[in-house]
Amino acid sequence: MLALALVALSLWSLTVGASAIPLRDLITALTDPYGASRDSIVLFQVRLPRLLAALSAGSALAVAGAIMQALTGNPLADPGLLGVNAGAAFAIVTVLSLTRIPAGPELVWVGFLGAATAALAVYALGSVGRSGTTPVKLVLAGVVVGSLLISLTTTVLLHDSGTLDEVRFWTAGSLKNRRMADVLPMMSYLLVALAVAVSLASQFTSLSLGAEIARGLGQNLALWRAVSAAIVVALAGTAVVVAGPLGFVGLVVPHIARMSAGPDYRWTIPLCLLGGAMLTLLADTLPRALLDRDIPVGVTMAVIGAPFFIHLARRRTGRNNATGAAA
Amino acid sequence: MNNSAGAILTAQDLWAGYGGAPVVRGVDFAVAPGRLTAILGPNGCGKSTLLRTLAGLQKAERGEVTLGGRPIARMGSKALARVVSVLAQNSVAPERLTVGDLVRQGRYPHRGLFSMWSSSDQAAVDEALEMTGTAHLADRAMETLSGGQRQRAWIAMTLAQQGEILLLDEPTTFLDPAHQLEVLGLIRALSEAGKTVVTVLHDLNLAAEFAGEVVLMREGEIRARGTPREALTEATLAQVFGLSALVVTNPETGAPVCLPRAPQ
Amino acid sequence: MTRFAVLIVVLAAAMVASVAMGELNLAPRDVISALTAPETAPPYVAMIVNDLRLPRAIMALLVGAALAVAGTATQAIMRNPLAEPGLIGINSGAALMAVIVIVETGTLPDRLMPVLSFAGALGMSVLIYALAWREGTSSLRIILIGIGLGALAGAAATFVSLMGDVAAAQRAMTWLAGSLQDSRWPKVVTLAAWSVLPFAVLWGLARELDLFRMGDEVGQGLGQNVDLMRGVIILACAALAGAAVAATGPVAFVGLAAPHIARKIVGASHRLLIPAAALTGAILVLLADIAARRLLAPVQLPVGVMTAILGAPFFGWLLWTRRNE
Repeated sequence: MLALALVALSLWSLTVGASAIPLRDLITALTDPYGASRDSIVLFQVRLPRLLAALSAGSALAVAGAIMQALTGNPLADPGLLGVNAGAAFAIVTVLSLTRIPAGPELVWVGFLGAATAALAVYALGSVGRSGTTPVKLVLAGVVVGSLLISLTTTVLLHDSGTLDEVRFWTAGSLKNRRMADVLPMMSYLLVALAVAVSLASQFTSLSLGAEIARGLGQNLALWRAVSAAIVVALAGTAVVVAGPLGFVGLVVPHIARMSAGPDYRWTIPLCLLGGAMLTLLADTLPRALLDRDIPVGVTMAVIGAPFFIHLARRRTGRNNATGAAA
Repeated sequence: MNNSAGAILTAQDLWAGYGGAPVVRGVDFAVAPGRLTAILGPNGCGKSTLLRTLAGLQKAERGEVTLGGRPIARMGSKALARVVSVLAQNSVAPERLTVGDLVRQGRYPHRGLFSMWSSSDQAAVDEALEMTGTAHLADRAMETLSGGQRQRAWIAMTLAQQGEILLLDEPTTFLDPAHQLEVLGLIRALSEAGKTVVTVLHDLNLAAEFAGEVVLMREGEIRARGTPREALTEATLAQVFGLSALVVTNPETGAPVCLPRAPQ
Repeated sequence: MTRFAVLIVVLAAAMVASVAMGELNLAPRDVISALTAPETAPPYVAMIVNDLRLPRAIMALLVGAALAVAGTATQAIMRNPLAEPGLIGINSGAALMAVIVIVETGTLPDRLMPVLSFAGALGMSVLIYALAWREGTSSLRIILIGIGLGALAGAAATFVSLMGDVAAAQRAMTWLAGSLQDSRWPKVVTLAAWSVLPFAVLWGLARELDLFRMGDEVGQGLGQNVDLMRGVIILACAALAGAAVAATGPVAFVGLAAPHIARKIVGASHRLLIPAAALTGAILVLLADIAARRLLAPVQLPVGVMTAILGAPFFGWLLWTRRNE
């Protein structure tokens, strides 16, 4: 069902843009990849790369968010909120600015490195203390590390207007001007990481029950935590290369997935995969279709995601901790 | 100095709650002046809500609370606080606050926006520290104290208000037995010194031992009141708590002691 | 009082150092003579000091003091040592409005900046408070909701800055990072004028702030008009944060760090804490600005980047000292 909806949505998004392509022409153009018609060029040079970018970034971030939530036992975890995306973005911007190499698929390794470092820093900062990682501590640590990284990124960009012009839409999370040559190599990393995530889904279910229970079930905690973290870093790093630091997908989608399918990650992960792709595609296409204007998907996503986050925060903090300290 | 000396705190047909179904349902109640009254009842019976409404921490939905004949809803909040002191449940002091600083806060209702710290303020604080036996702790930070000492410091703050009526919401919760006795001993001493004290308590036998009067609540209504000997009977315990209990007399003090029976 | 004397001496030293250091280093003696008797100093020194570096130093002082006092008051009324106008999104609200002014520069006059920033900060505070209200507020909820709203305002600011050309985007970015680059006397005067009243109000309400730390119930029991006081304090905080953000952009972590340091020095009573926090905040921003200018010279970092770099470890340390809770 969901898969069918995703296909329909994809087709629709291909028709929407500066020049509308009617569905019938779309199908003609799609079946003729080497055609020279205007539609076919628009389709293969502009819309298809953008579509693939939305689908891959969305599914990667949603699955990464779901795994992070299981890993940290924190319903508010999201690669954007916890600074992982900012880490990847900072690393990429720095390397671009220092080396002046044109943006290319090699950057994904830089993104991995940045994401991994930021994730480690946030986790270390957020798990200080006897109470371990409480949701609030982790989110605060994410905000702190994230804002540090964002201001560092800003500093780099301020001294380099060439790079700024190149990446300013990308840092806002925009899918504009993606080329097939940028997107396709990313897809291979992504497919590997997603395949691993789906096949390990049952491990995440045990992880999500908390350290004590997981250990009681005989899970090798250190191993699976490391594996999960590696998958998160791979997914988030790739997604940032493709779409820029995109927040809230990883927060919203896993919640909706769990609401509809329950806490078993064998269902949650595939649902997140489809749902994340769909939500991102929708956030990218809707402003074009409705407002006739190209708004960065990162902005749209914040408009959708922040209220959701606020709703979660309202629901999860009860009435009786009026005097409780956060840390 | 107090024009409402001997003022009596009363509730007439009082209804109160938290927006949903009322938790206190039509209570008529006059606080016995100069005595120690304990409000008892099962969880959710409305005893804390009654106390909070009496203190003005919560608005009445129907009926009213009066102090010396004046509705408290129409009194200024500082004027009320000069007569009625309240200690809410689980009050938490900020980090590194000393006992002395805490007790000094009790002078708030007596001070104007720009008035300086006066000798009568200092005298009230010293007296409060003295009465609660916390004078030697004045420079200690709250978080370094034992549970019993901490509760005494909070009571000292309410005493510094120099109100004649003291309302305490479960002052002994989370304390171990020795500290419970320490705090209740202090409360009894205060009432013997002339204060009017109303406290919500959980422990039936401690209430029977210390209180001069007990009030039993169930489902938002007062079901029994009187001296412990009058009010704590096998019949009222069954009616209010759904408890089958043997009530005997403490051979040393003469207070009733409730011995619950395990359900058959 | 000796503690305040020490703070004031450190502040004066930081001021002199800030004025003395730059592309052209001046001798502290020249700086002092240029400040106290401008006619005796060499003209170029007087020019550098009075037209370029002094407004910047005073701006740093004012911004630091304003954010520190706003942070102190927010921490008291939210009863959370981690609450600061930056972290809970109040600054983002002010920043959003200011970015609109920057990008629409030409259509909107500069004078509107503090007014709009104040409106942004105030709107944000009210929104956070309203959304966090569920039969009373909880500080946990306020922080999380502030972070959510902050992300929203941040995204909106990004979006607005994308509408302009690269130059406008760069201007907005510099400013969003928190920079003292553009410190001119008129801006200094505006900030000072905006800060005086809210500062006086918050200091005057020191006793109310003391009470707030103990929870609404205790305050209510002691006869405090909790809702009125909270409203006044939020208004004053929003004015301070809004004015500071309008002048330099959001400078992170001062509102978090300064109150903590000041509390270590003078204790928790707000009558002393508020002036001490103001002095500490001023010192912090002055020192951060010196570091930001000199660390990678000739590259000039925005002061907000410097405070963010210093703030992350500070935050870690804060969590570490509270680890047993």
